[in-house]
Amino acid sequence: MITFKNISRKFKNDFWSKSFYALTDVSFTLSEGDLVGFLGANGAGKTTLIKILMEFINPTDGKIIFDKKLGSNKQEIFSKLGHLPERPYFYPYLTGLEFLTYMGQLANVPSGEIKKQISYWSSKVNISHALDRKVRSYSKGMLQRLGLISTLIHKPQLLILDEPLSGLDPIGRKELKDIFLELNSQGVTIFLSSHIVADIEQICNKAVVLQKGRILYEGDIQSLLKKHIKSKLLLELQMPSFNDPPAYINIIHRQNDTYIVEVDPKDKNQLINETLSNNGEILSLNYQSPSLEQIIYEIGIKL
Amino acid sequence: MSQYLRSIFYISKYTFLEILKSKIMMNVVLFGAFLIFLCLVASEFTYGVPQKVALDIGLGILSIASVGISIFMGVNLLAKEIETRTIYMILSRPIRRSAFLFGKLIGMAQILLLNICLWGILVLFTYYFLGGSFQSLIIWSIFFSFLEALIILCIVTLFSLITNPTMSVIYSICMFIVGHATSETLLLVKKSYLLSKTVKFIFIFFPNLSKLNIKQHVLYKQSMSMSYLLGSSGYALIYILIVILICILIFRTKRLD
Ligand SMILES: Nc1ncnc2c1ncn2[C@@H]1O[C@H](COP(=O)(O)OP(=O)(O)O)[C@@H](O)[C@H]1O
Ligand SMILES: [Mg+2]
Repeated sequence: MITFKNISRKFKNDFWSKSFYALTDVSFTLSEGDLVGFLGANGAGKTTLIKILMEFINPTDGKIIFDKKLGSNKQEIFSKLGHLPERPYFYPYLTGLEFLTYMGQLANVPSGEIKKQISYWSSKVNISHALDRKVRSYSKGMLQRLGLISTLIHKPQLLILDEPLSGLDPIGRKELKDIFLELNSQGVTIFLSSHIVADIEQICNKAVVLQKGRILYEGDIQSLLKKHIKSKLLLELQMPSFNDPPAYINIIHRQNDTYIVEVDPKDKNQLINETLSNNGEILSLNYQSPSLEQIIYEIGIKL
Repeated sequence: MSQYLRSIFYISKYTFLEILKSKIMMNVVLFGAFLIFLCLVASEFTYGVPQKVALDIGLGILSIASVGISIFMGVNLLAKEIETRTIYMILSRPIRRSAFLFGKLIGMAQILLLNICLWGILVLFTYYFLGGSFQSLIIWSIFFSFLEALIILCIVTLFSLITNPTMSVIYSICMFIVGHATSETLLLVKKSYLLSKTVKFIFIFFPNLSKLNIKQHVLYKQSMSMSYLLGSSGYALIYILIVILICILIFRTKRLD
């Protein structure tokens, strides 16, 4: 749907200081129907890339190629696209309703449809009660919700969201994540940035990981997780008498008669048999799977 | 094309609405009351014909205050949109940057017009109250104040595209002062041919605001030819158009971060 091709962006903090690259040779493709998490620490360059995508700033090098399906000129493309900027803020003296109507009108949505969309989404994200209030009285979470509605009001095929979950309480995060999943299941392509790995791991099928302006990983989240699953199994077991532990296990932790042991998958049946025949009990059995966060941390160190 | 005009219309509409609902308008009304008070006091305590003094002071303050509001709004036109990131919300829609700029300017021009009409009515009212008689030149003078404020609005916008807010305010005030001094300066340097040519050339870039200052004529009930009035209006409009054009050229490729 969108191809980023060798994007670099140079910045200069002031006239005298040395210039530095906020983005270096960033290339990847957003495919239709994907829900892509754009991960990176603060200052990694996520917002800069999104600003380049939205044509707010130019890249120093490289280019962005939009699929023909989205349209052939900027007007056509942007009418199929919804963008939520980082920490969005709106005209403080307009009411929420006025602002949303304004955004719908700018996207050429007929007025009946605007009303319908506003009432649908505002009740969905629990903000209907506040629509008649001026935006300046809104809390951070309410601003984020208002911003989200404004990006959805024209039924975009593609969403570009910069840190849409920041500033929300856990319940709000859950609500929004469910909305993203729902939209994605209806065929909306979503590209959302975040510095919180767990959020991305929960809902996205792909990830683009940025570190200091360079791409660290780009692709499927599940296959990344599978690749890093540890080959050993973890068993938690209770054993009244475990005097002579077999050589094929590795005791990681012991508290009275409860043990946590690491074992090769091929030996697990033997261990279970032995435990049961010694009047022991299996409390749990798990694959040792690291979180996406740990994996990214490890990849980051290797580079 | 109709979509282009439509987006200009919406942007100007909500720009107007946003300013109308902000505190500025409250101050405008308060200032109007203060304006009447000042006219009355001045006409009471100075020598001269009371209604003339009131008109003189009223029109003078009206034009300065309009320019003040222009500078205040114009410097915020883009700077504040960028600072608060509201501009991203607008420019991520299918609209052109020039439409955004036009919409903003038109919305602010409407606010200016509203202010000036309000103050103008108050000044006229005070003038009548003190026994003045109507002349169409007063309306022209108020209209010229509007044009002058529009010129300054566009100039501030232009400066705010190339420098920071503080400097754009300072530059605009300089343009305003020089713009009022063009005629006098030209008279002063008339003696030297070369100097007068140079100064004339430099002044092409400054708005000749003294063309728009017809208060003396209003006060002494001198009539002015229609061709002068229309010529000055035409000059102002052309100047405004050129400044807007330059603004658009710069804004089209400006980095927004
Ligand atoms: N306009 C700018 N001028 C100078 N440096 C900038 C500018 N915008 C961003 N940067 C720098 O580029 C880097 C990336 O910033 P950003 O894209 O905002 O990161 P992220 O969104 O991932 O937190 C940071 O070091 C930031 O200071
Ligand atoms: Mg950011």
